[in-house]
Amino acid sequence: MRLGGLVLASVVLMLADGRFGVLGPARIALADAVVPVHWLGSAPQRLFAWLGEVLSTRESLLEENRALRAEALVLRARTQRLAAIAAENVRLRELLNSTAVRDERVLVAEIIGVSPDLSSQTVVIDKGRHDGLRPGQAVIDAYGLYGQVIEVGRLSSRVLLVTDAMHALPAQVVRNGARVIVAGDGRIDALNVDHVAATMDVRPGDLLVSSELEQRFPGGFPVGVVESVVNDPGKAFAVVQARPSAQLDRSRHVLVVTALAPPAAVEPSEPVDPPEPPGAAPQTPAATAPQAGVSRP
Amino acid sequence: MSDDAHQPSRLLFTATVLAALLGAVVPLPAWLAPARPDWLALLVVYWVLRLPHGFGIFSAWLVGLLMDVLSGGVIGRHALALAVVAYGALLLRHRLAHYTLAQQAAVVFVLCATDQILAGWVQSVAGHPTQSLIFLMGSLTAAFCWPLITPASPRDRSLDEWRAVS
Repeated sequence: MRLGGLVLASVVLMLADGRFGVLGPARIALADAVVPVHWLGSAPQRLFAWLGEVLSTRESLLEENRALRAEALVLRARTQRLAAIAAENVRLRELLNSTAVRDERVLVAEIIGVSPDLSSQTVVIDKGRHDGLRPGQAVIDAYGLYGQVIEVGRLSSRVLLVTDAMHALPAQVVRNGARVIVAGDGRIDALNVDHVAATMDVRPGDLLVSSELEQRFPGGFPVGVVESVVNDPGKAFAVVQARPSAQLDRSRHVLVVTALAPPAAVEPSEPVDPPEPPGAAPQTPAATAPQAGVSRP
Repeated sequence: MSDDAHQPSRLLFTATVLAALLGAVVPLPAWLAPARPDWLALLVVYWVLRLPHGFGIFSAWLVGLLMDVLSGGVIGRHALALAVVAYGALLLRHRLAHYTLAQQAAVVFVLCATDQILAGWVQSVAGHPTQSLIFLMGSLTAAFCWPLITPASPRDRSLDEWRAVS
């Protein structure tokens, strides 16, 4: 009897949340309330990391410092070349009348919780609305695209990984620019490349990078490497599997791409002045004057 | 265990709930994750057996709601699954009193599996299909943990009551 009522209540909740998505605000409030549990849950790994730092010897620290310095030098040298290439890219894009490459700002976040469900792949990070996070922002790690922010609390957020069964994103094959859709299928170490025509030029070893087509992800981040291409004559599409580039099950810190303004939004969108009736003209010079000053490239 | 075995303290109850929630969400390495014991189902079975009139279906449902918020899936699925587990444990509690530890563990396995199958079923309806039956490993490890946490410790007075009613 009571069980029946509670089952009914659960089904109503599940429908409200899963089907109609009306529990959004409540979820966010509750997510804030359970942050301490996530924080406590990640305490052991924090403790081990801290112990590792405290107990490491001076020699190993010096050694690490040396290695990091060398790495920084190599990376800086590479960045110098990148600067020249980026400038060239901008010039070429101007020649082509194409939009400029956008600049991204990133925010370092620590993973404090991992979804205990084997079938869904989400993590909780320790940055939230307070730090400027919004749903839909892309998350990357040092090796590639990690996922996107789906729920933002005040001090924590939930990130959907690229390998989750509900995730898909547009991508491009670096070698030839072919556009594909990369979808997760629930396994942490595999991505499906959907709807690849049997004649499409995709080979094992190809690098897939994110595409800006959807206006959600920054372009050019590695998503995965094609592992196998199986052409089955009985199927309409080739079965293409890829391995995610990001270290989805090992990263402790990730980067949230916070500033990714679509090119159109850089300038405020203003309505084209409608032809005004002569009688209305004297009342609106103040409103139309600044608009005239905006140069529209 | 609290000193006052007859009426376990609220503190003990809260501590076990918190510990079970922590155990359920603490990050584990990928190879160990499928074997994570179903701590919440164990918690529910434990408290139903220990306090059948204090901890019931509704309490289990609330604990499930907490877990839903923590795990970030569809809200209501753990609530539903744990309410069913509590119901099963309430039905079986008299019988469990006569069982040996091994038999109890087998029943606990079935209850935990009910929890995981129900929660996984809702999740797969919501678009996250489960890959294999490996998730039942959690029920198996939970059953192995049962002898460690069973409320059937000899000095427990609530157990005597429990035996008396059965």
